[in-house]
Amino acid sequence: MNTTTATQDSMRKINKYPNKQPILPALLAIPVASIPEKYSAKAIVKSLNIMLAQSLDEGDLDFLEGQNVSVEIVDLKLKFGLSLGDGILIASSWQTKDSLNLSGNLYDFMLLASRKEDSDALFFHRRLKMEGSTNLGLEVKNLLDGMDLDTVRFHKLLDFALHHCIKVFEKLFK
Amino acid sequence: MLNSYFNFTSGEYILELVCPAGNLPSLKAAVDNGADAVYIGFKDDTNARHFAGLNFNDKKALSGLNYAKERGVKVFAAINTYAQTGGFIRWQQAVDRAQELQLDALILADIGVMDYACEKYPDLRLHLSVQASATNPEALEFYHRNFNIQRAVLPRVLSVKQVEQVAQFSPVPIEVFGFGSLCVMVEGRCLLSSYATGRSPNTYGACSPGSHVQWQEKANGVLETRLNNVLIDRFQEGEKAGYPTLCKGRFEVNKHTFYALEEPTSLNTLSLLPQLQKIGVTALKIEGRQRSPAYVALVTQILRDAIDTMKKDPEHYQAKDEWMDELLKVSEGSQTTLGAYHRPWQ
Repeated sequence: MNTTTATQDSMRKINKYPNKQPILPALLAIPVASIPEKYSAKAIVKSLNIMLAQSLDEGDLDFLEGQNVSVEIVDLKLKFGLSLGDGILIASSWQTKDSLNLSGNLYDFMLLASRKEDSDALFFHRRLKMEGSTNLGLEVKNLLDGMDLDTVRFHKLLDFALHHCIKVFEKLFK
Repeated sequence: MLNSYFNFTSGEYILELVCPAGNLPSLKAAVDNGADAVYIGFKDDTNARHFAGLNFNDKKALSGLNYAKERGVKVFAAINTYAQTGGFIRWQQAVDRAQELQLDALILADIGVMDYACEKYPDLRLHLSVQASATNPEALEFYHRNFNIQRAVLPRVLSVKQVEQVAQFSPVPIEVFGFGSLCVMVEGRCLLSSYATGRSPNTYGACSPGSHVQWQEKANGVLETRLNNVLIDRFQEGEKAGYPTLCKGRFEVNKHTFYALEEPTSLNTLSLLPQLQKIGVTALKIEGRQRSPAYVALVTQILRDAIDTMKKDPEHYQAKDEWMDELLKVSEGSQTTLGAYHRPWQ
């Protein structure tokens, strides 16, 4: 529960926003951390290419041409980079200062992927970090927000999995 | 004032809930969660949320319109920036597009665009945008007489008392902001963003355009915000951040560094709903076409619930704590205010 105050009846503020978001225990990240970066990046990119085939065909991701996005899922100890080449997503190496750097914890990325949380709110709360090209960040954010889920292959399965993972996280790792 | 927003059975004005949508999933989220109307923008500088990847092309607009109409919800288009010399055709095309799509209303600010719309399409319903910054009944009378506007969105600088005075003598129904991010609210006249970047909402359609914003987090967890290489804020580790606008930057004044203009904050009028209804406000607008479907769904749902609860028993209505807490979480800077509505000195 948040602690909120009302000052003079007109102002309300979160004094103590719980920074106790569920975090994956370090022990559970070991299997992922032990996979070499290039293999995990290839697996992620391959899955994304299957899921986003229609959006890729329609050119919705063309803005990634010539741009590298580096993503870090901090508690999962997972880092990967991606870009666009010949109309499909390709793996690239993770870099500290890429065209766009996104980082956050697994729980927050799951909330974003399942559209349960607003990305600007996560950013305001410092749970999602974004550095590099703000325009590219906006393109990525608006692509994800604006995507018709019916065009995403296996989205029902993904939704189901995310929904349950989020519940497990909230129950076990808070 | 007689208008279609007055319910003669209950003797009350209908507080129509007008919700933002920057994309199709947001539009659907608004419709599904109880919006009476949704407002959208096209993919260019004719609207004041001209951000990369945001807004509607014709196909998405039509799809959204059909979704809304099938569920009895209206769709408005915001064409609310000021047409630039040499580029007027884009504003004309936006009006033509809205007419072709048969949207329910256009939200306009520029009198040139208004003139074009009302001359070419006399049956098209026009609303006066907040960007027009009309704050008195005489100004509204001018827009009504010359361009046949059917509704006016009032600037957020007015106190409740002032809104009441305007509503009392206005020739058209009044819409006010009910929830969302606040800025310095010099609507339609703010040049702060231009001062740093050469671009502002009135001309380019975006305050602090993404191309000029840099976020950088230092090793010690301090987040720095720069606008066109000018440092405008520095958030300590764990401190809540806001949008990268000059009006919400921290500046050194007389050797003190603080929010010299205003703090990042959001407007929240839940506690004012009975008053707003009583003084004849006919529509309540939620800010945030740049936000995600999750925000639109949450805020629409809470405002819907609040308006319905208030209408059942205005005298005993009180904003529920859980509504306020949920809204705080999506608020800029994690704080909300009644803003100018509550300024007794105005």
